[in-house]
Amino acid sequence: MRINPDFTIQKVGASSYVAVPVGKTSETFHAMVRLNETGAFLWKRMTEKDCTEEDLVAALLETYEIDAETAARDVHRIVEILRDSRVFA
Amino acid sequence: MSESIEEVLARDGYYVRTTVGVSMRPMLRNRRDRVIIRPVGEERLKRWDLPLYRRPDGKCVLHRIIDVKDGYYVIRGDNTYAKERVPDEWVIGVMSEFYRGKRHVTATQKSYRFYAAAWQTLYPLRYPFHLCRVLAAKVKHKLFG
Repeated sequence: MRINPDFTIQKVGASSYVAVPVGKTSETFHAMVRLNETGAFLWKRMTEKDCTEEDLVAALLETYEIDAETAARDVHRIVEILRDSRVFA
Repeated sequence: MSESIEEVLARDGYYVRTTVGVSMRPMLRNRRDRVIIRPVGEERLKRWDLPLYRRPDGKCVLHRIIDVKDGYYVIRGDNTYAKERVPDEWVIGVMSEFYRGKRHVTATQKSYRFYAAAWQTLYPLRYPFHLCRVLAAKVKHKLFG
């Protein structure tokens, strides 16, 4: 999974981020994608390279003090939300 | 049903949007830059602020305040040459910061306020150039179709 490169991410609060598209995608995608710290962290990973859910879980476990089950559940939930939001390339 | 900008602002306290159009060039470029809009506070906005306002036809516009009057603002886009009278009640938010490409700029930044003031102050010089461009385009169209 990789985020559509037309999307940009902006910090709007202490731990709140919003992603919106520029360029061609902005002609048809008019919503904001709201992300918390974890969502933004995973988002940035998926803009850098193609990732599987396992890659994202591993990245979370490397960076945060979190157990594997919680990491897997959080990653799956966020990936489903992003898939429904049609932000993947 | 999608939410209105007013609903998003009331719920989240911000609204982020990619800029569309050329009326705020050179500062904001069509479909390349992003603005963050916040709700308007109790105090009236100031000269050079960028309010987001909704016209009676429903269209939302982000242009610059060039004068503050009792009950309304005089507004003009950085790349437009007509003033607009915008009553206070049309204003739904104000730009607090923007991203020009990757560069982040806040509305309170000195360099930004300087740009806004300088660009509008230069209007008497910019307008004749604009008229020349419009005239040249008309002549070109007449000659070459």
